[in-house]
Amino acid sequence: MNVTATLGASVLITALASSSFATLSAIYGLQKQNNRAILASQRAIVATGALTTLALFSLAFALLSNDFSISHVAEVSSTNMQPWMKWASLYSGQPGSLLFWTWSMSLLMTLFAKTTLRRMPWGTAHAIAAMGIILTAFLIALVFFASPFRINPVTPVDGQGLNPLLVDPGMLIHPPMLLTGLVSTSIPFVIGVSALASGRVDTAWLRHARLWALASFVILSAGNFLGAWWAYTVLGWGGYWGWDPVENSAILPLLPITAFLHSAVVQERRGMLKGWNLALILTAFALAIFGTFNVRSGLVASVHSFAQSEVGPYFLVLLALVVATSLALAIWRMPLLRADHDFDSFASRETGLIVNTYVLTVITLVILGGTLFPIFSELVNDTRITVGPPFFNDTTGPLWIGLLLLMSVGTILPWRRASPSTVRKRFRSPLAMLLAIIFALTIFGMRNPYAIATIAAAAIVIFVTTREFYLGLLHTHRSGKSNWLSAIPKLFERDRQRYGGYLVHLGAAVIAISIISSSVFETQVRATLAPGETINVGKYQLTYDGLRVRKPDVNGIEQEVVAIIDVEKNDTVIASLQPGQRFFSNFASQPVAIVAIDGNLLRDLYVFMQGFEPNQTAEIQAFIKPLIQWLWIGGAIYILGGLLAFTPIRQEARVRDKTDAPENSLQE
Amino acid sequence: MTRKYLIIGLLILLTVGTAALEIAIANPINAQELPPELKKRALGIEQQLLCPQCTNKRLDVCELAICDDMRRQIQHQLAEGRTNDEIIFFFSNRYGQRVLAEIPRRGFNLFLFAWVGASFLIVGAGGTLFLLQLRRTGKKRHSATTNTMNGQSEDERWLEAELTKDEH
Repeated sequence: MNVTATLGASVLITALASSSFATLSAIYGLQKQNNRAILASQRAIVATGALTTLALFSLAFALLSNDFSISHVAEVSSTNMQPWMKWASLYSGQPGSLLFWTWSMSLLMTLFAKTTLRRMPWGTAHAIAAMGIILTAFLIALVFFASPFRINPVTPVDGQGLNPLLVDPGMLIHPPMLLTGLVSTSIPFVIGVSALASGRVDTAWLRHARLWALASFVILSAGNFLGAWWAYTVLGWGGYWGWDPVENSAILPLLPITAFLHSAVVQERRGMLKGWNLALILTAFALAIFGTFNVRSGLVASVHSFAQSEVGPYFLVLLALVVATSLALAIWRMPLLRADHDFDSFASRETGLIVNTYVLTVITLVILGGTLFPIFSELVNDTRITVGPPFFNDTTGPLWIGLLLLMSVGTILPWRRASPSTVRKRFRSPLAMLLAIIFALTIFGMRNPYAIATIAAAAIVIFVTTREFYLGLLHTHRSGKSNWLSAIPKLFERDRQRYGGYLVHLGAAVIAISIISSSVFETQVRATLAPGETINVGKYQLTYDGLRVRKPDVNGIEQEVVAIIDVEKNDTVIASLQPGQRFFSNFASQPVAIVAIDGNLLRDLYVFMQGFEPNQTAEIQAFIKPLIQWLWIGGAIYILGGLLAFTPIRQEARVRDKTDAPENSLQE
Repeated sequence: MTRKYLIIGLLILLTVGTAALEIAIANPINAQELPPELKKRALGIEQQLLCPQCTNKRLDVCELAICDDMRRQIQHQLAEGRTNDEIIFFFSNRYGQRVLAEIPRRGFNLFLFAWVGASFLIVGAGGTLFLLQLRRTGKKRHSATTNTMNGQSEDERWLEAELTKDEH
C-alpha cells in the first residue's frame, strides 16, 4: 500500500465530506435560525482548508521522494529534477493544477471566513453555503475525475519529467499567481451571491466585495504580467502577448473585476449601479470558471493546454450552473435592485466611471467572442480557423485608447456636476497638451495613427495624474506642516483607494506607451550565418562566432546548443549574447528556445536561434524593441498602486461599526 | 560516323544534364541567395501565416521543422515569381484557414464580426439609454437649488478650488 497516496486520497475525500457538511449545515442553520449550525459550517470551511493543505503536502512529499508509483508524480517529475523545480511539477498537469486551484481557493475562503465573514452578519450563512457548494464542486472533480493520487499499474523506474516549456524559474511564480488570481474571483462572487440571497443589496456587501475584488485585481494582474514576462523571456518569439486562447482566459475575468472596482465607487458615493455591480462581480467568477474549463479541457489546443481531459464536460456543467444560479438570483432580486438614481449631469466623474465600465464590457465581449469563435466555427461549419492577433488588435485597439482617454476625463471631472466653466477650465490645458503632442509627433515623422493616438492619450494620463499627485501633496504639505517627503505617505493615508488608483493609471499609461513603441517601431532581422559572419540590426553589428554545446544535466535537460554572438556598436563590443536551443531527454521533439537579451531602458536587443546545421551555420533572429522595459516598470507601478489602494481591514471595521449594526453576529 | 557523333553528343548532354540536376538538388534556393527585396517580402508573408501545429504562433518565429519547410517553400515560390496573395492562398489551401493570422472577413467568419458589431451596439445603445434614464430620474429628484459641491469631501473642495485657481 502506498501510504502517501492513501493519505492524500483519503484527505481529499474527507475534505469533500467537510465542504458538503459546511453547505448543508449552513443551509440548515439559516432555515432554523440556528447559530450553532452556522458556526459549525464556518469551522467546516476552515477544516476543508486544512485538509486540502494536507493533500497538497502529501503530493509535495510524493514529488520530493520520487514516488513514481503515483501516476501524476511519474508524469511531471523525474529523479534528475532539482527539488525547487518540483514546486512547478506540483501544479502542472491536470490533477496537479486542479489540486492547487482547490487548495488556493480553500485557503482564500478560510481567510475570508476568519476575517470578513464576521463583519457581514447579514449574509454569514449564505456566504458559507456558497463557499461550501463551490468547494464541493471542485473536490468532486478532484476525487472522482482527476485525482492526483492515482496509482500507476506498473511503477516506472524514473518519471517523465516536467514539460520543457515549464522548466524555467519564471514557472515557479507565474502559474501559482495566475491560478490564485482566477480563484480569488470566487470571494467577491460569494459576497455578491450572499447579498442577493439575503436581500441585502445596499452598500454593506459592496465594501467587502470591493476589498476582495481589489485583491483579485492585484493578483490577477500580477499573474498576467508575470505570464507576459515569461512568454517574452522563454517562449522565444519576440513577443509577450499572443492573444492565445489561454492568455485570453487569464485576462477575461480581470476586465469585469476592473470595471467593478470603478463602478463600486459610483455606488458607494452616489448609490447608483446596484444591479450593474452585482452583474460584474458574478460575471468575473463565471469567466474564471470558463478560463479553467478552457485551459483544462484542452478544448482550444495551445501551448498551455497540455492536457486532454475527462473533466471538460463536468466543468461545462459547472459553468452552466454558475451562470444559471447568478441569473436566477438576479432575476429573483430584481425589485430590490431598482436604484436610487442620484445622477446630476453627464459632465461628472460618475459618467466617466460608468462609460469606462461600458468600454471594459465591450472589450470583454469581443475577446470572449474571438476566443470562442474557432470552437463555434468547428462545431457549426466544420472549419478550423484561427482568430489571430490582428483581429484582437484591430477590434480592441481603439477601445484601449478610449480607456486611456477616459482615465484622464474621469480624473479631471468632479463628482456630481461640473459647470460649463469648470469643464472649460479643467480641460483647457490637457486638451492643449493633447493637440501639441499629436502635432509634435507628426512633425517628428510619426505616421502610424495608432501610435500617435496611444502615446498622446497616455501622455495626458501621465500629465493629469501627476498634477493630481502634485496638488494633493501641496495640500498635505501646507495643511499638515509636513515636509514634502513625509507628505507622500500622508497623502495615501488620506485616501488610499483614490491615490492607489491613480498610481495604477500611471502604470497603465506607461505600459501603453511601451506596448505601442515596442510593437510599431520594432526592427526584425533574420539571417543564416556561418561562423565569422556579421549582420546589421539597426545600429548594431552582430557577429556570429560559432556554436557551443553545454550539458547542465539537471531537470531532464540533455544538452543546450548556443550560438556565441558578439554585439558591436560603433566598432566597440557592447555585449556577448548566447541564444540557443535546449533539448530534453524525454521530449526529443520539443526543443525550447534560449533567449538572449541585451537590454536597457531605451531598447531591448532580443536574439534567438531558430535553427542550426551540423556545419555550424545558425539561423539567427534579432529584434530591437524600443522602450519594452517600461512594460515591466509600468507593471511594477501598476501593482504597487493596487497594493497601496488596500484600506487596512481595521479601518474598514471602524467604518462598518458605525454604519451597520450587527443583526445576529456570531459569537465564537 | 554520324551515329558515333550522335552517341558522343548524347553522352555529353546526359553528363551536363545530370551535373546540372545534381547542382540544382544540392543547392536549393536558400534565404541567403534571395535578393533583399524578396527576403523582406518573405518575412512579410511569414508574418501573415501561423504555424499549423502551435496555436497562434507566427510562422516567422516558429522553430518547428514543418515551419522551416514552409519558410523554404515561401522563398522558393517567391523566386518563381509568385505574388504574396498567391503564396498565402497556397498555404491556406494546403493547411486550411487556421494558418491565416488574419481571419478572412467573409462567409461564415462574418458572424464573428457581427458579434463584435452587436457588442458595440448593444452595450453602446443600452448604456446610453441607461445614462439618459439616470439623468431623467435624477433631475426629478433634485431641485434647482442643488449645490454642485455636495458629496465632495473637504479635500475635494479644496482641490476643486486649487485646480480652478491653477487654470487662471
